[in-house]
Amino acid sequence: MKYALEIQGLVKKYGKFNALNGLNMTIPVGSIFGLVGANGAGKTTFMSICSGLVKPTTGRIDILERGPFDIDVHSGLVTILPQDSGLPHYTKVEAILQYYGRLAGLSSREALRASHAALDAVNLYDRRKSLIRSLSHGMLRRLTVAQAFLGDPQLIFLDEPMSGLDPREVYNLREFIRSHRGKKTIVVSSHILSELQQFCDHVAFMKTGRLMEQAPLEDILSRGLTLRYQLSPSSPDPNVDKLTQNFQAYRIEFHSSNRQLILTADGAGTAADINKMFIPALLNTGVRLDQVLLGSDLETEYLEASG
Amino acid sequence: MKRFFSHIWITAIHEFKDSIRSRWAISLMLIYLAICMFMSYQFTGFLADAEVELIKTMGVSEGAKTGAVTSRLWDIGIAKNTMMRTYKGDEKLVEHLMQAHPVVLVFAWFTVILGAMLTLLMSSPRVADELGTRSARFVLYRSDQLSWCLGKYWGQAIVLLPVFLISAFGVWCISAFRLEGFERLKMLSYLLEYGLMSYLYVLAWLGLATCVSQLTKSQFLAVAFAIGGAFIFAIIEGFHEHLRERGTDHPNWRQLVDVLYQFTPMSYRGHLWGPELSRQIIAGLMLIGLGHLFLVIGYFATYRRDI
Repeated sequence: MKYALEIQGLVKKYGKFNALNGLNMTIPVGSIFGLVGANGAGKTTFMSICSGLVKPTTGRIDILERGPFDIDVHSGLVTILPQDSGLPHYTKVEAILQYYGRLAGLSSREALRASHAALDAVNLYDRRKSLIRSLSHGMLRRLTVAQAFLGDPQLIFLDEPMSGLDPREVYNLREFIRSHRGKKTIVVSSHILSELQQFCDHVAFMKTGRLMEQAPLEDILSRGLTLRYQLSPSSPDPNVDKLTQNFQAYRIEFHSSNRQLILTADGAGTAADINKMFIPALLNTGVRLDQVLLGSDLETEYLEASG
Repeated sequence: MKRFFSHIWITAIHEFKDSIRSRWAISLMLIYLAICMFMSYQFTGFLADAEVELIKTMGVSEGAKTGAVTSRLWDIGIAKNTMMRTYKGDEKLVEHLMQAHPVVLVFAWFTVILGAMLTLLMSSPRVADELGTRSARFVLYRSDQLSWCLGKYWGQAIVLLPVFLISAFGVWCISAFRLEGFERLKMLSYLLEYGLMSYLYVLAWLGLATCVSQLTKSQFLAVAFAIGGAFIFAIIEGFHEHLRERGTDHPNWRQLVDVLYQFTPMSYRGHLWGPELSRQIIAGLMLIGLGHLFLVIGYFATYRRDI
């Protein structure tokens, strides 16, 4: 099996609104696949259709080479962390995971063992006997992540898994997801692109229900020669017009959101050569420079691709 | 098929435990038990007073203890006439009911009404709530909606069984304490038998509750729909009674109402209380079948809906 998921011409209409507009996508087996797109791009609809929660209007879907989502075929093999979904308040943490595990085809004992393993992975083992309503927002999020890894799923959809987590838990979850590379296919959507960049090996950009671009992360980040100049938070904004005038061979952009000045060179020349000329000119404009990073980042590429 | 039934069982057990933990269900059950006890306390008080009056006015056996002459109350004909009117044409049933102690009959009468209300209030929010909070999304990619709803139905059915048996026992305790001539062992078996019949009767109402619960994502709207459904059944029963007593010049109307009446739980109540075991068994099966019919109607009305 080469692809865990193949989608062709997927359309989902809500009345007159097209949430998905002829989406085509292929997701390689064993990859950690990042989905990037603005709100309303169709990421959640795409994941919901692939896990059988939402019915597509038209289009072809092949999940794990066993056709479109079918509960008899894919139950236990495909899991999802749905966005904005609550858990029943009066159930105990361990009991809910055991219930989900049993529905996924595990025996009672296997489900208990799997629920303990999943809770341990998200650092909630000591809360296994607690009622769900007693958990904090971050703990709830971790519990919903745990349910997606119950048993032995082959294709896992995680819709905004990092939202609401503290930095320590973000780190733990990132490492946890990374540990499944090559063993399971994981599709992750997130607005925190720097996070996705740290553990994804493939990325797709979506816009208004269509695929704009899909490629291995390495390919996306190594286009041309890109240098990123990280300005200090207290630095004044650079004079981009003046810099562009002086260095017409390069494309220069300033992203105020992360205070980075991006220089892209499509022609010849090494990073050292460019820095030798560019950094003094940059400092002359009065900015304070913290560091220089080689290569593009996901955010830059996404902003570039989405116009 | 094996998976289908296994999911019903797994969900039923989970639903049972979840309902017990839920304060809403426990509160309603306690209110129901309290009302049953209060009603039987009041009724046994009324019965004792009526007997004292009977002794005084009719000069019946002055030495008799309270409860020993209850049958005389039946002999005055008011109760018999009421039953003859209600179950016109079913002499056997009326004779059978006339042999039962009034405490048993009153218990049977108010448990079917109160039990149906308890069931509608307790069970109609169960599916709607999970659809509204979207916790159903964690289940419905592992299990199909029909087996999930059937599991919910049987989970609630398991919750209700002890409620009816405990209420029968409670009524027996009060009657045994308040009525001196009460035949304790015989009455206990009668009350438990009628408690069980009331339980079978509410299984049809439970189907109505599960049906309407699938139609909405608001638990309050689900309760409103359930009460609306009960109101429609009451209107059909009213029409049916009216046409049976007064007749009509339009036989088609009569046929239509007769057919509709067959789809209400009330049409099987008399058979359930009848003297023949075969009729009781058939009525019980019809009520369970009716419950499942309502549930499946709810399922077919919503199964194409996105979760």
